[in-house]
Amino acid sequence: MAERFTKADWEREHLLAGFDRLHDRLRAWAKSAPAWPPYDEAKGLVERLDPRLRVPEIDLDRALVVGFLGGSGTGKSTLFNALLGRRVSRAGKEFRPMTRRAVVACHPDVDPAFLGLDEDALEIHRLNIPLLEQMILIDCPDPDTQDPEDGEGGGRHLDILRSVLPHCDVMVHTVTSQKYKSHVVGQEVRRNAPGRQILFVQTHASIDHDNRPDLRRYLDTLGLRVPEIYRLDAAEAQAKQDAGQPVDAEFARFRDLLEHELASRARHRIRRANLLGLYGWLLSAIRGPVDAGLEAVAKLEGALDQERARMAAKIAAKMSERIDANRRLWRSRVLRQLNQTWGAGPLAFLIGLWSATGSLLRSLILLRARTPTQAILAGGWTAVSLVGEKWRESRAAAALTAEADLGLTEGDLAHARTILQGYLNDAQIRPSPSDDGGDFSAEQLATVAVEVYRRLDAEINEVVEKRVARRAGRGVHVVFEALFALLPAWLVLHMAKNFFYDHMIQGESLLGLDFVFQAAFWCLLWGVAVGGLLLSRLNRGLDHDLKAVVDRLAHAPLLDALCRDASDACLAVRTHSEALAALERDLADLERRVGGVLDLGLGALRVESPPELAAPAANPIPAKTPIAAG
Amino acid sequence: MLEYSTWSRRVVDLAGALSRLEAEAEAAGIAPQVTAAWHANLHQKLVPQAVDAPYLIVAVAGGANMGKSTMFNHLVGFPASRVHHNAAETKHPVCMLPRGFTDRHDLAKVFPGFTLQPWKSEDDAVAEGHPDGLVYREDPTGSQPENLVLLDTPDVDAALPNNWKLAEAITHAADVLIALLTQQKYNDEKIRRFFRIAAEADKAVLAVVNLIDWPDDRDHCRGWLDTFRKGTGAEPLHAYAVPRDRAAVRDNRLTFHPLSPRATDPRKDLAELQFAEIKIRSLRGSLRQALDPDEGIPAYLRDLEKRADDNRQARAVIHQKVQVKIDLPRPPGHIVGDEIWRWLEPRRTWFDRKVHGAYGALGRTVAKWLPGSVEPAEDEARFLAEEKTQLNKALEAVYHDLEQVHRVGSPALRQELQPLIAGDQRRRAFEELQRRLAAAPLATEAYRRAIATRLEAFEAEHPTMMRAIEWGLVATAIARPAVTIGMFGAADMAAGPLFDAGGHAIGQVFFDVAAGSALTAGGEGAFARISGPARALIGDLFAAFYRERAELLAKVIDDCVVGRHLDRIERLADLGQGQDFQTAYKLAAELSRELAALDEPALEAAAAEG
Ligand SMILES: Nc1nc2c(ncn2[C@@H]2O[C@H](COP(=O)(O)OP(=O)(O)OP(=O)(O)O)[C@@H](O)[C@H]2O)c(=O)[nH]1
Ligand SMILES: Nc1nc2c(ncn2[C@@H]2O[C@H](COP(=O)(O)OP(=O)(O)OP(=O)(O)O)[C@@H](O)[C@H]2O)c(=O)[nH]1
Ligand SMILES: [Mg+2]
Ligand SMILES: [Mg+2]
Repeated sequence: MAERFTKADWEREHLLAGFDRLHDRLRAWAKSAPAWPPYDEAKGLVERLDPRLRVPEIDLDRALVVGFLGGSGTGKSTLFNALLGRRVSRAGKEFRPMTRRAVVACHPDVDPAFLGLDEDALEIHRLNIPLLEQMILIDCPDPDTQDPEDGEGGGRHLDILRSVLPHCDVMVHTVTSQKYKSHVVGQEVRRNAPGRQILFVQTHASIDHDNRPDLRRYLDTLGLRVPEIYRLDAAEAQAKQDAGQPVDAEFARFRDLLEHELASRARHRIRRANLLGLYGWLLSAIRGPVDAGLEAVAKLEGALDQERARMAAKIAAKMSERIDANRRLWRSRVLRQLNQTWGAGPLAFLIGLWSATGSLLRSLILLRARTPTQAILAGGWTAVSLVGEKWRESRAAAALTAEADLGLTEGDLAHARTILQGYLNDAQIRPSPSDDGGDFSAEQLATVAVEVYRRLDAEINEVVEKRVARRAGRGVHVVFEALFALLPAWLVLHMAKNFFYDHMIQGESLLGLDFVFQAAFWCLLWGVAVGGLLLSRLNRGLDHDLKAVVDRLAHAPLLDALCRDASDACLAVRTHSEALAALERDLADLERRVGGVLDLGLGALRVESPPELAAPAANPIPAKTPIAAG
Repeated sequence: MLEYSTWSRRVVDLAGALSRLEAEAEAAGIAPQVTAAWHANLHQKLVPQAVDAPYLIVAVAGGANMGKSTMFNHLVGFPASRVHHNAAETKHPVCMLPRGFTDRHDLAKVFPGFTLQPWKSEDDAVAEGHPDGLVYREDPTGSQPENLVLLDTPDVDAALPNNWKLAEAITHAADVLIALLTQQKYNDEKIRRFFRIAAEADKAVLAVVNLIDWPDDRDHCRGWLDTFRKGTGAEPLHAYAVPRDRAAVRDNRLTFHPLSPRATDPRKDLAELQFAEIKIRSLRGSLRQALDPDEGIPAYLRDLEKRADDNRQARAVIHQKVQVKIDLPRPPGHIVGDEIWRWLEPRRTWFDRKVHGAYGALGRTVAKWLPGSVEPAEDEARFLAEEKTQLNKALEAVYHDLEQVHRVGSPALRQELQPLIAGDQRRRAFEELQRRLAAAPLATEAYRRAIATRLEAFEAEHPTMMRAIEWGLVATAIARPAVTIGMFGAADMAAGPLFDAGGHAIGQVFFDVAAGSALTAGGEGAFARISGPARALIGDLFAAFYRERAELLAKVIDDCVVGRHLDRIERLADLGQGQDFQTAYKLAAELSRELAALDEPALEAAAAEG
């Protein structure tokens, strides 16, 4: 018979796929985590919880396991018996503690072997009653009578309790007036709360005061969400059952909840809610240390920025000092640029001549140029590359140039390095050193410096080009050439007039060589005046522009390379924390789809549990059995 | 029997020595063990009661909601401590004193460490108040036996640790405990442990099994009491059963069913207690507990000794590891030269002045044209820049060394060094160094004085050689001593000429003036001929200069890097050798021996019986 794939089935598959995806992502996240203590811790946690996180479909379907947790004498066994309607587990006043092994009540069809418990740790009762069709009840030993330090005399019943609880989907927490605030019991509930639902019951209703309001307050301080607390009297219910009378309303309500709501209808929902609760607990347990660690990382980043800024300020100050000191160099560069743009023309020729003399001087200067900045100001990158090669070759040379030119000494580097190391320690980050010698090393600085010079050269070039193009374009060229030509033209005119008119017609004497010399002199003077005007026009405000370039450079991300290793490590940590946030969103999404179990009156760990309580308790558990959270 | 007066004196001395020791240890970062049983036994019981205490302290004790306050109210005969259906409601001990007690005794000495609050109403005990609050009242009925002090205590097992702390403190002071037991709680681990400790301190116990179904539970009661005896080692003097009876609670008229042969009613039985015997037994029990080899005073002293050893080791490690050699740059020659001229100036004759003035001017002019010579200002700037680099590097080296020590150190040392090598601290140290460097003049007044003293001494010793000096031969000579800065120079201090950087015995800068080899000169030939004593003189003059410069770094290291913390290590290291430690050790050993001698016959008797 062909089975139909219903909408419910489809939704179910979809949900299971969601769980698988969440699980895969979490594993992938843990696996790819960068080395950092909070992440290492997270890895361990994921590893430990993995068997419980990866829940096969079949597991979501099996009988609901309900365990009883409460102080000795609070009536766990009595309630257990009353629910089953018969005396299965020994209850009474003779001894405290009374129950010393896990008493399991299950349907004959159910095999409790999956609990993986020791033979002598438990006692199995197979009962063919409707209550147990979808449910396994486990009466557990108490957590408060055994001295955790002497396991001997008191037996191992605390250990048995702790090995049973991890298998429970639901815990029934029984309390009495005397024991509801018991410290050890509270801690036990708390450590077993992640990933399971809790039903709170105050027993001894016929003889004890109603302490539920205070109990609720107390549970709240433990970080538990408490929708409902039942208050009933199991001894009375049992007596009534024995006598064949109807049981108390509250008891009946409690039994119905277990039998009809939880075990049959809501079983899957509870399992999924448990799983989600476990994920939620896990993620918040991971989140706590990560967030705490990120604060130190933020401080580290702040320190990095501060050190870089300090260096940038020094570099900028030193470079603008250089610009002030080397006026002639950058002016000659402007001249050369002008010469290149203008090409032909009398004034251009004159300027070319001027520039050529300048070049000669410049090459002389370049020979003496001690620092790259001077070289750049004078002659551009090609000159610098030569020097640059040299720095890279020797560390000492690098340090020297850096000091001379960037205004940074080895001392400054030592200063920055030491502070950085301190913050690295604080943030527990160990960056893997790259091949440039590590953060704030002289080599790294040299590499950065070469980059700075390259950029400086390019930017200066751009400034000069732009300036020449804007202030001495074609139009200006024509105007200035014309202006320059004005005097020679007038002189030519004058000479022509002298020759053709004055001399030939009027018979006056020709202008002598005197005049020619004078004319040449005046032409030169005129040319210098016009050229000077042009150059002053070009050079005005240039130092300002150059300083702006330096300033821009000092603030450019160029300097980020100065401690790249550390910032890379910080970035990796941050990115991974964002990936964790994505996981949290995935989980929230899944939670929305599964829906809560609040309507059932089940308590559980609040999601926003206080971080100091969320520490996982050590729980040695034999291999192969599912692992407990607490 | 231990002689009352002889040991009460020593107990008080022991407590005094221990208190001082604890204060010293606390100053060095070891928290006092105020919660330890020995501490409470010593200060809550032995000291207040050792001298003269003609009264018994009777405390009602047990877990939350077992009916302690109900029991207490019954004992005092009126509702003095609020009975509430919620658990852990009683948050402060309530003390009912016999008439006229406060006239005869200083209550603050009877209950040291508590904040005493006079009783105002029944609700005092349940009010949120001072964490160490104790409510007291003199018995208004006048029926309370005059040698009994009755107390209600907070619980020992619920969620408020402060309650346990108060209950334990009261119990340590007590001579008699009224142990509340119930079917649910009589064998709880917390309760068992609480009464076991009391039984070990030889306190008398009265057991009250509360909230029982009488007479159904009558037989169970005996079994429970047996379990209680076995679990705690306590032998109740009397035992009673109190039925669960709301009306009786309301009317403060509890019914007591005797469970032991001679028991009648707790009020009557209490009044007839063997006063002296119980008192001495409980005092001796407390002393035994205080002197417990594993958890008592001996253990505390051992612990301190171990800490001291650890810190001595730490001190040695730091001393070995943290040392930097500073390679300070060549000094600006004129600094020393100018100071010498300045010193010489008033001492010269007119002729000298003329001649040497000319030579001096000439010398300076010549020096200017010597190859490699520089302007003084430029020279100073160079020196300062290079020095800054060197000092920064030295500070880096110090941090590097500290980090190494931190890495390999013991947990205690690691914890101690952790804050030292944090980023913020490093930043502060570096900033401080830059600030002080910027503020420090090259030649200080102290330096001038040092030069003058040295020159005067030299003049007295070698009057003839003064000539050479006056002739300015030394003006351009330069010496460069090697400087090492290290921590904890105790051993080295004995070995060589040392310089103490601060008030502490730490952060030592020690000097090694390699005068001969490091002496260099501006104008080689002439100065190479400087003779031995003059050479030494110049070496010293420069050493004094370098000392001032290195002191700057040493002070920064002392003030900002390690000072306070190493101080603590130092103090911890010396803890085990102090007078108080020795006294405490001696007294504890003596008392322990005497106690053991007392216990021996008792043990033998028990063995013979068994
Ligand atoms: N009146 C009343 N008595 C109860 C109730 N529950 C338990 N009791 C009594 O309390 C005593 C102890 O009950 P148990 O069920 O043995 O307690 P437990 O929690 O199993 O104790 P351990 O096995 O020692 O951990 C028994 O005598 C019960 O009759 C209740 O709801 N009302
Ligand atoms: N029926 C009955 N109730 C009692 C008896 N003794 C105490 N109670 C009840 O037990 C509850 C607690 O009594 P308390 O005397 O306040 O107990 P406690 O030990 O002082 O409790 P905390 O100080 O809050 O730890 C109250 O509701 C009392 O009415 C008793 O003999 N019979
Ligand atoms: Mg039981
Ligand atoms: Mg009370």
